[in-house]
Formats: sequence, structure tokens, C-alpha cells
Amino acid sequence: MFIHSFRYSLLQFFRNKTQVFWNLFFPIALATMFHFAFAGLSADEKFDPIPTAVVLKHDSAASASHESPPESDYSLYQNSFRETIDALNEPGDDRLFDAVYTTEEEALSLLEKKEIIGILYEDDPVRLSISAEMTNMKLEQSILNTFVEEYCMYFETIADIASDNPERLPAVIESLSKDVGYIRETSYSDGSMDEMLTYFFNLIAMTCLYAFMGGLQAALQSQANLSALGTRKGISPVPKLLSACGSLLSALVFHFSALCLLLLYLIFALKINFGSEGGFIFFTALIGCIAGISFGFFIGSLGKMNENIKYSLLMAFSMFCSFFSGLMVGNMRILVDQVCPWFNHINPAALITDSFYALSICQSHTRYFENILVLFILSALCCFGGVMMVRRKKYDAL
Amino acid sequence: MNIPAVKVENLVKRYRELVALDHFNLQIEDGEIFGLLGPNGSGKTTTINCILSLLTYDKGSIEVFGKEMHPDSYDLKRQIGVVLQNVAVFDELTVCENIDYFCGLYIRDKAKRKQYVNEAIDFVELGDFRKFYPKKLSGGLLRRLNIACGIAHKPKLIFLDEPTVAVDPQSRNKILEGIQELNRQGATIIYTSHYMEEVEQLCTRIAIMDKGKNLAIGTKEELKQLIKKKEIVSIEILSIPEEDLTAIRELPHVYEVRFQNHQLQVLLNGGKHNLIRILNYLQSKELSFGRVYSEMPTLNDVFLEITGKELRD
Ligand SMILES: Nc1ncnc2c1ncn2[C@@H]1O[C@H](COP(=O)(O)OP(=O)(O)O)[C@@H](O)[C@H]1O
Ligand SMILES: [Mg+2]
Repeated sequence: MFIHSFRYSLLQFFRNKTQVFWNLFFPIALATMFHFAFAGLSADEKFDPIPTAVVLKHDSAASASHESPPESDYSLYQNSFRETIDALNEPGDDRLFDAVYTTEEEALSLLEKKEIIGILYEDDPVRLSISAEMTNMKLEQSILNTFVEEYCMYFETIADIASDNPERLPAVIESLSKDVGYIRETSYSDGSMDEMLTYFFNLIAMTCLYAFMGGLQAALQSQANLSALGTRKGISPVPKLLSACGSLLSALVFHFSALCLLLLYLIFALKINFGSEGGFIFFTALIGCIAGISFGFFIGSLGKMNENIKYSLLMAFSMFCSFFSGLMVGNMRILVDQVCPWFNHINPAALITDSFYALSICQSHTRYFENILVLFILSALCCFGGVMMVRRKKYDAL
Repeated sequence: MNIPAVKVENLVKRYRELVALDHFNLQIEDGEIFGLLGPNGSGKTTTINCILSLLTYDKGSIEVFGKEMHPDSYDLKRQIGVVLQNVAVFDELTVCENIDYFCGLYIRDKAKRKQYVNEAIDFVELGDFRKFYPKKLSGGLLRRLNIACGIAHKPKLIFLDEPTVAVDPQSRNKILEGIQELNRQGATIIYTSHYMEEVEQLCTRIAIMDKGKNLAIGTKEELKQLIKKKEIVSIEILSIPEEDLTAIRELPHVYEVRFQNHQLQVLLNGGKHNLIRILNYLQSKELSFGRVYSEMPTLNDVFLEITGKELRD
């Protein structure tokens, strides 16, 4: 009986054009729009080279000016780091670094004075040192970080090429600098890569909350006083909770499938980098989806209000939450944090967005699981309330 | 002694101040087509919802097949089919899937269910529309789908709540014939309507209700016996002197005479050869007349006499 309810309820969801539109096409369209809007922005932006200090292995070389290195295979290999920096340091439109070669002590003092964003050490492997206090320079810091990662990846290739056919080395270095430049271009927007990601996180959070539609439908269709279909189910020999659970599960399957499609679209079509924790990204979407369905189920079961009123109420609720978590104005969450911080801890959209943020940008699992836990508690409360109301057996009026 | 299919005793149901059912009594025997006749708002739907244990009620007892009815009397519910007043089908499911869904709530066995669904589709003659979505069906076809959803599982007791409202005459006749067929196959039918013609044509026993009260119950002949008016004779006549009207009123069995719009109406409370007697009188007075017809009372007349108002106002 559970499977019977589940099966037909699922069919209903997939055939419901409104649901498919709001939960699949609308977010995808919005994501595409965001994507092009950001691409346009980044093309227009003027990018200032990042002030950086470079500490070479042999401090003696640091004091030296730009005299050409000796023409040996060994030195080519030795100097590949410096060559790379120099390539990215060349004046021009795509200049990435404003680099000074210096000693470690001097570099540290420059960093202290905030005259540079970071220090690159030519160690094995190459290291980056940044200041934790310079929070307003996140983008620059992350570009430096990307550079180091890319360089380490390329390093082996560079070493091979330097020993086998050194004449190709400049081409490789150029391709490395292009890669880093590409990162800069795609991530640069309105000052911060984080901010662009935040918009996409918010979009996903909104889609999660839109799952309320599934919960609402499940609630309306399982109560005799809320719909004719509910009445009809009420006179059948199937316990109400059983068919309601079937509907809820099918709502979850439907909405989570839609979310997965959205995520795959973001990752593969729009090439948005959510970081390395792919599994957790999907898990977050699942929890967000459960939260959305629970809200819909709870409000749907609550009182005898007209279906359209409940729908509008939930829609307004979703938009309200999304707005305050930054769907329309990117730094809304930070503003809320200053005015009433507790709201960010119960606003489901903010919780979902922050979970993604914790995963991809801060890489803080504690913060991530705190968010997930709150979402879970909210969902559980709503489901419990909904079930208590659906359990009712007789009604005073239909 | 047979156990009645439905037994309702002293049922009282209030919606806040409004008393929807006022000490309502009803007993429906196995195998009947029972008609619940009453104007809109008389409490027919409320009665059915109470019997089905959807509504709370203030007083009274309800038994179905000799057992008290509760919301979780699943064994009883399994034997009941309901066609609700409001069409209740899924917009996203086809005709066939809708019937299969509702049938599946009662019948687990897949092969049997498939057979039942097909039989239900044939029964309401929706064979050509199997793959149609409800939105594409006309009002009459939609009602037929609604009926098929309610009866596909071959219940022993079927409630039909105004299944013919807003239905074209052709669909209506199909529906009525279908209901009789279901009854022949052994189902007990409870049919509510505010169309007396339907109830008169279809039902073996009828209860007339108004304002939540059961006013009269019986076969249609029994109901008509209850009232004074047994025959009404209407005669087209240009004009008639007052003293002749008085004379006609003195004829046997006549209890009321009206004359308006060149139409003479004579109400009689029984007896035979009434028409001949009246016409003979008119001829003897050399009064010329046009069309003449005699009618037996309808359920509307019964209702009118019991409540003092028309069934349809
Ligand atoms: N949900 C409700 N709330 C309040 N009053 C109701 C409700 N449903 C019906 N009523 C009232 O109860 C009376 C009986 O209604 P109903 O059973 O629907 O009549 P019928 O089916 O004979 O047309 C009417 O006066 C109606 O206004
Ligand atoms: Mg009604």
C-alpha cells in the first residue's frame, strides 16, 4: 500500500508542470543568468596585480638584480620558479603579481605592514604564507593559493622538461601562467570569488526550500478536510499516515532528483567549483530538501486555510528566507549577522548556504555539521507537528 | 432477520450554532436503492460523511452491516464505495491510472485489480479515453470517471452523493442505468439528489429530508399515499362564471378549485372517474374548453405538502 501510494504520488510530481518548472527549470535558468552576469562583470573588471614578496632558496640570489641566469640545464631547472614569477610579473593587461624578491625577514615585515598580500617561498614544495588578519583580501589570497597549487602540479612537468628538452620550458611556463590567469578571470567578480559562489549557494538553498511544494501537496491530499482527494483517501481502508508517508517520500525523491540535476548542471555545464567535497554537497542538498518538504508539510497540515493561501504563504516564506540569506543582495547574511545574529542560525536558507560555505570555502566541518544539525532539528519539529495533525481521525467540518 | 446495511439512530450534528442533522433516523436494508431526497443544504452530504466516520457528531449511533462505524473500521471501509459530490481525481494521472490508484487502495492483487479497472472503464464507457487526463474530459465524462473511481473495487455498499449534478442528459441516463446495473449485481445503493424525477425513477425506497430532519420515508407509492392530493385535473377554458366554480368545488372528492390565466385546476383527494365527472359538468353548462389533462401527484407535491415549500426554489 505504501509502494502503491509512493508510485502514483511520484508520477504526479514528475507530471506536474508547475512543480517541474519551479524546481528544475527556474533554478537552472536563474543559474545560467547568474553565470552570464558574472562573466560579464569579470570581463569589465580591472584587476590590480597582487603585491607579493618572493623569498628564493638562495638568499644571495634575492639581493641580486635581474641579471640573466647562467645557461645550463641545471640552472634552468633551478630557476623555473623565478621564471614563472617573472612571467606573471611582466607589466601588461594580464599581469598577476607585483612581486619583489627579498629576504624572509623583510618579507615578514612587509606582510606585517600589509604592504603585501602574501609571501611565496621557494621551498620544496613551494609554500605560501598569508596574514590571517587581512580578511578583506580573500580573493587575492585565494588566487595566490591557486597559483601555489597549480605550480606544484606543474612542477614535476617543469622538472622533466627542464632536464629533457629545456627549449620548451618557456612554453610550459606560459601555459601555467595562462591557467592561473584563467582562474583569476573566472573567479573574479565584484571583488570576490566567494561572493559569486555565495549566489549559487543561495540559489541551491532557494531550490531546497521550494521543495515545500511537495510537502504541501502531501499534506493537502492526506486530510479529509483539506481536499476532495483527502476526503476520498479518508474513506479508503488505508491508514492516512501510511499514504502520507508514501507521498512525502515521493516528494523527497522528486525534489532531490531535481536538485541533483541542478547541481550537475552547475558543476559540469557552468563549471562551478564547489571544492573537493562533492559527496557532502549532495548530502547538504538532501538535508535542505528534507527541510523544505517538512515546512510545506507542516504549513499544509496547519488549519483549514485555503490551498492558495498556504501556497502563497510558503512561497513568501521561501523568498523571505532566501532574501535574508543573500539571494538578491550578496552580503545580506553578513548584515544580518551584525543586526540580529540569531536569525542566521534559524533561517533555513542561511543554514543551507552557510553549510555550502563551510564546505567549499572555510572547510570547517564543525560549522558544517552544526548547520546540518539545526536544519535537521527544524525539519523534525515540522514533521512531528504535521504528523500530529494528520493523525486526526474525524473532523468537525469538511 | 436481515441485518440492515446502514442504521442511523438519533443522529445530531452541529456546525457551531447551525444544526445540520436533527435527531435523524435512517435504516437501509440490504439490496435496496435508497434515495435521500432533499433540497440543497438539507443535510444529505452531512449524513453521508457522518456514516463514513469522516465527521464528528454530537449524538446518536451509526452502524454499518451491524457493526459500529469508526474511522479505523478498515474491514467495513473495504466493503464501501463512495462517489463524492465533488469530483476527486488526480489531474496528473490518466483515466486508467486514476481508477487503478483508487482501486489499489482496496485491492492488492495485481491481476484482479487490472481486471476490475477494465471492468470499471467499460462500465462507465470511458474505453476511448483511457489515456486522457481529467482536464481533457468534459463535465459528464469527468463525473463518470469520478464514479468509476468510487466503484471499481466492487463494493457491497455504495454511496452516491449527487452524481448527476451538472451532467448532460445523455451522461445522466448512462449513470442512472449504471446504478441500476450495480444494484442488480448485488450492491446496496444510497443515492442522494435534489432531483425528484431521478429519485422517483431509480429508487426503491425514498427518504425525504429537510433542515436535517427525516420527514417521510417509504416507497414512492407510500409517500404519495401520505398526502391529500391524489389527482390534479387541468382544463384550458376561456372564462367561467363564479357560480360554476362553486358548483365544481361541490363535486365528490374535489377539495380545491383554482382559476387563473384561462386555466382551471381541480385538486382531488382520490376516487375514480373524476375527469369524466368534471367534463360532463362543463358540457352540461355548455362551457367550451380546450386541452385537458390529468396528473398524478409527484414527489414535489409530497414535499410541498409536508414542508409548505417547493423542492426546487
Ligand atoms: N463545513 C461546513 N461548515 C459549516 N456549515 C456547513 C458545512 N458544511 C455544510 N454546512 C451546512 O450544513 C447544512 C447541510 O449541508 P449539506 O450536508 O452539505 O447539505 P446537502 O448535501 O443536502 O446540500 C447546510 O445548511 C450547510 O450550510
Ligand atoms: Mg450535498
